[in-house]
Amino acid sequence: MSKNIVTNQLLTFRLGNETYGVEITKIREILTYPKVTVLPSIQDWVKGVINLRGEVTPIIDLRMRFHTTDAPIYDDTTIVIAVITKDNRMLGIVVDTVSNIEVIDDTRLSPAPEMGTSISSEYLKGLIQKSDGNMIVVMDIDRVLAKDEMELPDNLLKKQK
Amino acid sequence: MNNVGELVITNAMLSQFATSISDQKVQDSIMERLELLTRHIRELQESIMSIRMVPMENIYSKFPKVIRDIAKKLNKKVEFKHFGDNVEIDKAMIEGLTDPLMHIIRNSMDHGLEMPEDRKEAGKPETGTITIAAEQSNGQIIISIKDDGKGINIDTVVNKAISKNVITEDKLSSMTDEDKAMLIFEAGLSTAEAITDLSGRGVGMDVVKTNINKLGGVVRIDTKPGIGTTITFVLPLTLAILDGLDVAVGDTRYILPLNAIVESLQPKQDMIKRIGDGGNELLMLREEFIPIVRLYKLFKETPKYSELTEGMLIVVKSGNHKVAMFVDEFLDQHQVVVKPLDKNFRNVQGVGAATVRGDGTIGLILDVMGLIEEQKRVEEFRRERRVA
Repeated sequence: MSKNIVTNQLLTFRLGNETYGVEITKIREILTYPKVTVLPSIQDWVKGVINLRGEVTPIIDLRMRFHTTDAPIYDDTTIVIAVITKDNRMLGIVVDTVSNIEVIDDTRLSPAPEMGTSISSEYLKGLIQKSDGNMIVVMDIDRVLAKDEMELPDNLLKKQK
Repeated sequence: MNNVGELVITNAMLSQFATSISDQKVQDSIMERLELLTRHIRELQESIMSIRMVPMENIYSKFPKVIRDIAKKLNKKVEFKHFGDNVEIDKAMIEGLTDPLMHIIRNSMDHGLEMPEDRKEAGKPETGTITIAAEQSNGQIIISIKDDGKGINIDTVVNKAISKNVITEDKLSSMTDEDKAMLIFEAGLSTAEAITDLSGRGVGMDVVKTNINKLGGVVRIDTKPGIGTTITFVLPLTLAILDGLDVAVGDTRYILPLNAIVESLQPKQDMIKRIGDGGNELLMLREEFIPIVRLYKLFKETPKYSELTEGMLIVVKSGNHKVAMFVDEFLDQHQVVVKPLDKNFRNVQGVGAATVRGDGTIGLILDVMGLIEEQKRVEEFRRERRVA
């Protein structure tokens, strides 16, 4: 699978101490944390499902998925980003804050290092150094939200950590 | 069909909103007109359904050639009969139904029907018969595949199941013959001595069951040694809309498909029997013992009532299994539009699908069969722990 970026615009958001980016073409909309229907016996990072434009959309808390926060808060300042994956599924992801839309030079994308990132490099497309020196970690959102990822049991992920 | 679904939801939203209008006069007149709208939507839904429906003939038409080919390969003589060509079935279901039917037919021809000389010896006509019949009753489609072959050798199946560790021997004693025959639908079981390119690999029958379950149906089997085997699929009429009953468990409201419900009751203390260390509860209902499933335990909810006599028991049925689900109370009944969970996410044990409620939130539709299986797993786990 190629890890190329198809657009030069990234939606950036904060997760823990790092800034992450997702290609803007993947984003469907941004909403505040809605009323979520909790699913029984499910991983703790799956908050449940919501109705988004008539679609049953699961809410994945990336903060818990990648253990950047242990006790996440859900209130009306919590942000959900609705994402469309390449197999055309719609999912909502919860992040700390949505920062900005960045226009980037995709030739400056460097591969993610095997170590030193708080998220395993298999979930990343690479790193981009902005002209102001700040770094954006480009997330491979299709990989993070892939169908087989959803089947991962809780404890397995905890062990990985 | 999806658009009609949205219409049903919007209508439900309107109705819900209308009940909150404080002016009684206004509310009444709005409700009256909404009533009319509901009726029109129902009619529209029915006519759209009729467009979506295709006759069983479409499925049947594929079989004669396949059967001829297989018969030639196996050197068997087979006659194919089909009934209910005009019975109509949801287009969306055909896809999921063709493969299982094909598989059952192949299986019947390979394992069920005997060689012409054996048949003659057994006093049967040389030509075996495979009959498929479809009928519609009580809002369900019933499809049966019957062969007049040698039937399933239950002992062989059971022995195989034990040797493959599919079941344990003490479990066997409580199984009926039908339960035993149903073992052929477990994964990894094949009683064929030789592996052919047709069957015997032990995969397939479990896929049949999974596929039928996916369509919201159940598989039944009836076999008589020397006379033949009948496999029956019981399927819902449509996949898109179902009648559901809202049940409350703690703070959550779940939707129970109406066609799974047998009856509901508030139990009296003397109807509840406990066996063993009290972990397993049974409801005694007219000489019948039905296991009780406490939904809040499976779903880890905090219930309003934890005493069985305070809440409601809803007896539900899936295939041959009956369980009594313990819920806090049941609320209203309404039509819901089925939206699969695995479209965007994945399947969740015990939840068949989701729906959008009148207020725009998501409701979860319970999967009765899944819940029964989940409960079995919990009980087994408890038993194993007790032994250990």
